[in-house]
Amino acid sequence: MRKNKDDFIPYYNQFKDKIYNYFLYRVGFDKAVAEDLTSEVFVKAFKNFDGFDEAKKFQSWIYMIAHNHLVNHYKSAKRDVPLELMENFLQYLDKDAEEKYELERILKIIRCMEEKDKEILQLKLVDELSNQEIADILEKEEGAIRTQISRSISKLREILNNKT
Amino acid sequence: MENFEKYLSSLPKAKLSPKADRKIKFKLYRMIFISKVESFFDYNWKPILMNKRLAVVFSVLTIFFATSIYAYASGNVLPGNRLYPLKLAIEKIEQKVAVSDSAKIATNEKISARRLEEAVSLSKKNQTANIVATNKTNENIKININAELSSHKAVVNSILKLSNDNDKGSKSTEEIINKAKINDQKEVEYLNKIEENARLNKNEEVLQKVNEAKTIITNEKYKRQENNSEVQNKQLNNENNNNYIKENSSKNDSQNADNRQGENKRDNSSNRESSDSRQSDNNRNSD
Repeated sequence: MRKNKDDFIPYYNQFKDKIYNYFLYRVGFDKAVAEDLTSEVFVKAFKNFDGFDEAKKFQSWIYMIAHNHLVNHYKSAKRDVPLELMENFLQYLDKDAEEKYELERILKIIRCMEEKDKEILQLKLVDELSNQEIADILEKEEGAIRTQISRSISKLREILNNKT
Repeated sequence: MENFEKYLSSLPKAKLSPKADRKIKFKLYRMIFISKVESFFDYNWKPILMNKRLAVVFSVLTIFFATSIYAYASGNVLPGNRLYPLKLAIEKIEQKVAVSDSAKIATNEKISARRLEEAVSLSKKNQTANIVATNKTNENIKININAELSSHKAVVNSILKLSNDNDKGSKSTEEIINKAKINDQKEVEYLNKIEENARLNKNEEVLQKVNEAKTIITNEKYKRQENNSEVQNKQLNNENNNNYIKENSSKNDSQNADNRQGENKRDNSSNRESSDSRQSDNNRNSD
């Protein structure tokens, strides 16, 4: 069914910052790359807007496109994420030095974790998505996602406790 | 490290910069526009609008047309300018497009006035130029005056042809002739301006050319007047002939009428005579 393309703009306004944030935390806080990827994702979503099922949540749909796009981006770019950018980003946070230090440490550990743990932790803790939304994005059952999240969190906790 | 979840959830949420936001919105609105065009015409315009080669061709054509319009309309494009040949080419097309005699006359008049305008601007420019430039400008002024004269000739010939074809001297022909007269005056004014500038610069070459042009224009003017008088004479002759024919016919009519009256009178008198003779015969018989 052909949709009215004008309807896409309110969705864009609602989710532009969330998608930008999603990329920013995954490309090492490189703002230019995050902006480019955000733009590409919304263009892709616009092109496929006719295929969007309104019975489902737009958030899950757009995150799914963003996730696939990011995977492709890493495949084609094959780049390591520079750590200095994350430090720069955290430097401007309105937080105590101790808090900044802890955040940096947690993020670095998450980054070093396995790909599936890293993705699920970021979706759950940074992007604050629900289990159902994460299940939609990763195309898995909600129950499996719940188990995966609890496993990944316990792994992270274990690493943090060992390091301290 | 128990409260890492709290730490992570308190991470700042960055916002897309307004510049990036504008860029993305521009892309989206462009795609919305394309999709609307597509749905309106029910045709896939996207390859045309998004095709880089076509975009290049389109932009080159746009630049070409914009330059042509500038070259044609601007008074700053004078002989020696790089765009001047383009201006002349457009004028040639304009001349070819003009099909009717009146359109041809109007185009040639416009072009001749334009050549003189250019010559005036050149003669003004000449006041500050060096010797080499002066010679070049003089050459250009002469070329312009020659071009003006040739289009002026074309106008005169077309008017002559028109007035010969149309002996009755219709209103439209009269209008064209009147316009040509006004144009002649303008041309002489332009030539006077060029003459003035040439005198200021003590430019004998240009002065000579202007005088030549003036004599040619006045001669053409006389030619035209002669032709007009010929046409008028023809008209007068025609009118006289018509009047003569009308007069003759009216005279004949009156003569005929008189003749008829005379015949009637004669008939009446003969009738009277016969009745009188009949009456006298009757009287005699009764006696």
